[in-house]
Amino acid sequence: MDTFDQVISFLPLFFIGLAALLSIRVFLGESPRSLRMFAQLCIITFLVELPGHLIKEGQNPNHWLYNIFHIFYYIYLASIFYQQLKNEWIKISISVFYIVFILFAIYNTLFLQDLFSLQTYPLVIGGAFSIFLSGAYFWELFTSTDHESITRDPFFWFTFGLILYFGGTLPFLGMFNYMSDNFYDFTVFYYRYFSNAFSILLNILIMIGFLCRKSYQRLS
Amino acid sequence: MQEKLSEVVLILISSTLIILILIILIVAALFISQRRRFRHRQELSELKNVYEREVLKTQLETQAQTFETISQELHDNVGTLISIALVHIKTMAASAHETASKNILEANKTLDEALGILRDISRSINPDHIQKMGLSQSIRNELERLKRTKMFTTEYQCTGEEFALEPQRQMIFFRIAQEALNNVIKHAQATHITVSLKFNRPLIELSVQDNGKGFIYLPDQGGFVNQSGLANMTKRAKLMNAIFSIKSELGKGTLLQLKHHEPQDQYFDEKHI
Repeated sequence: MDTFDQVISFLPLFFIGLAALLSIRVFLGESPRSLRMFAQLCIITFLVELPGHLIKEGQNPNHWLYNIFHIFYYIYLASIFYQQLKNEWIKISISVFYIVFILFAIYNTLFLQDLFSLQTYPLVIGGAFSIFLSGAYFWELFTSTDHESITRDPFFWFTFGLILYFGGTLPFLGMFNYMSDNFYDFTVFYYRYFSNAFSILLNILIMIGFLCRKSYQRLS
Repeated sequence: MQEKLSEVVLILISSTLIILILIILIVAALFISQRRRFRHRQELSELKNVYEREVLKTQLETQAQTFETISQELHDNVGTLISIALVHIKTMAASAHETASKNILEANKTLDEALGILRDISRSINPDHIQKMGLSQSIRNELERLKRTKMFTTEYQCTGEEFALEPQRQMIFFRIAQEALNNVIKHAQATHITVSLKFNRPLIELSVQDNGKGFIYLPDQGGFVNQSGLANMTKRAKLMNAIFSIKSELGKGTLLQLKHHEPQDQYFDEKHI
């Protein structure tokens, strides 16, 4: 891997770190619980991504780390949406998701995909559920009678970023194992340029979300 | 293998693109709907404002008409009756003996005073008279009337070159000044009143200050809900887009200010009259 590729490979980590850094400001003032949880998720993501990248740089497999992290990530993300969404049916679906997703992840590890290769099934299921939750949040914004502009709502930006990220990467992640087995070079190319671009976009939108308002009092 | 790769790339890119286009469409729809909602809310608020102003305008017109009728009745009817009574009294005084004559003259004096007060009241509520006199002179007359009660000392200051206000606007200014003076009489327990008018075209500023007991004024907690006089003044000021403010401190008196910028007014545009 030449220097350019290394820079490209580390670029998403830089944006993840920046988003995590900006998320700290949420803890400085009064902010709603869901926002604090999202900030915590950003920090945890950075704390996982950093060793993940370092392990990869040392030519060691890092899929096990991401396999564990993705389970936690989707559960935590769903619990943030649980705080943020108002629709009771969607809240029930989130509660069901917690159980089903954890059981499936265990089943998947034991019988379908081992821990040391990328577990794409939980990725696709979690990603698809996150898209569903993002859509539900957009629907709530669409039907809301709130007077405030959506651009001043941090969760609009987070959700926009998440829906773009999962929408852009889900088809690829779903086919990841098949593609890396059959078309390794293309998989590396697509991951390095396209998936990373979506990751950067997600973190830019997260940063906008953290910066879009000074006070969060009306959101609580 | 190459063919299979092309197929996979096509599926991957097309599915990703479809998802992204759908997402962008959803977000665009969200923005458009919110913009529409904002516009609709703005239109509703404008309609509400226009309606409130129309209601207030009608109220003021009715009030003006009532004042005019009362003023005419006082002047033409009660005033005439008192004048006739005065003539009779004078005739009686001429033919009465000394003690009775003294009493009759005293009654004559009292009636004369009453007639004077009646005329003052009649003038102060007559819109035509106020418009004819002008704002400055009308306010001065009100202060003179208060001074005659010997309960207050008054001071009037007029700075800048006086310019004629549009009649309805002038009437609002005068009624606010009148209401402010009434408040001083009724509640302030003051001994001195200062009224000042500042003309600096297109700006006109009215201040009414007293040295009374003052009151606790909480504009953010319901404002003048329980104080109908102040609420009326606020409404009247709003009608001509003027800024109405109150500064009051317990034991230190009250200052009422009304600031109006002439061209800002939209309500008295020709199309509204």
